[in-house]
Amino acid sequence: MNEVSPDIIRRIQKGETNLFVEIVDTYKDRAFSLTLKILKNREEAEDSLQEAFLRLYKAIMSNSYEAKAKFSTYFYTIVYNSAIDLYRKYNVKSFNVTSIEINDANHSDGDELVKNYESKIDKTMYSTDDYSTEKIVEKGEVKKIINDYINSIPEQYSVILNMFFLNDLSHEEISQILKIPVGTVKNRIFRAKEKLKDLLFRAFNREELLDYLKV
Amino acid sequence: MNETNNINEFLDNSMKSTMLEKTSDDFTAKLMLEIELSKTFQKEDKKTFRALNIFVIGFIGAIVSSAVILIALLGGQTDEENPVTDGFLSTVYTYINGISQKVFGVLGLKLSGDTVLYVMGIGLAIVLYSVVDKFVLKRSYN
Repeated sequence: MNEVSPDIIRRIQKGETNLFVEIVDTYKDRAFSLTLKILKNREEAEDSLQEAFLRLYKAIMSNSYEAKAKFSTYFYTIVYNSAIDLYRKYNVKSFNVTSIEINDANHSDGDELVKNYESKIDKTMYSTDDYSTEKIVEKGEVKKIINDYINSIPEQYSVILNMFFLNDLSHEEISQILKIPVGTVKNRIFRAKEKLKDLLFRAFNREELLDYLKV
Repeated sequence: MNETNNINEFLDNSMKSTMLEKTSDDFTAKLMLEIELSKTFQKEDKKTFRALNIFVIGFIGAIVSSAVILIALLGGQTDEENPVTDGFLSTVYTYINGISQKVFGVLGLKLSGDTVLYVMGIGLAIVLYSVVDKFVLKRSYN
């Protein structure tokens, strides 16, 4: 993803609004995927993203955006905080079952939650026929396993995975935005991938899966 | 090694495509409309704030100039019940007391010396609030 240069920021400040539209079009879908992961409701996720872009625009126009800061870190901090603000506002709703705020105080609780989740996955997903070993690899099924996994993963994982894989943020940037240690970020990404690999290798014949991946 | 790379690359790409969600078609249009509206509101707010500033300054100016004029016209008239004592505050107190007794006398009201102190207190509080609001809190209405 191309970074937004200080020159573009200056041109927006001078009134080239079309450049801001370009920024919106570049980032909107990926940022929306992140807010949707947090809020789990399309309408609220869009509202939150609108608010984030509005805050960004105001920050640019009032010169409170420091060009020294990396744009993506600055932008995703706004996106994340706007989503968290809205989440807190509608916290009474039952669209979320786990604490999505990850900080030093609760990240070990998050690890505990993830362990519970992993054992749940072991019990449910592996016990069905769909995940029996030696199965012939079919394109749709591999995707299905990945989809099921990504969609059922707790927020303590999915927010980080989303930032890393989809929004191309570095471990350090994620750590800065979520205010958690870099080690926790790396650990969660590593464990999530290992778990997914494990799921795939248990579900399919190893050689066939590797052959399929070469294609 | 190559095997691991293949798997990792596949997983990275799969996760990316699985997680991607699309906003509604009119997302950008709605956002730009909201930005235009916020610009308009900001302009209106600035105008309102400027008008409010002028009104407040004018109001305070009117009060101060009226007080000065009244002091000049009616000053020196003392209240027999409250004899003048030495010092600047006492002089001001006497002037204001004299003025207010005259004014309220015209309106048919009889007020005690404490009332003047309350009025002075309220006036002082208004002035202090204006100063704090403007220079300490630096409140902006943009």
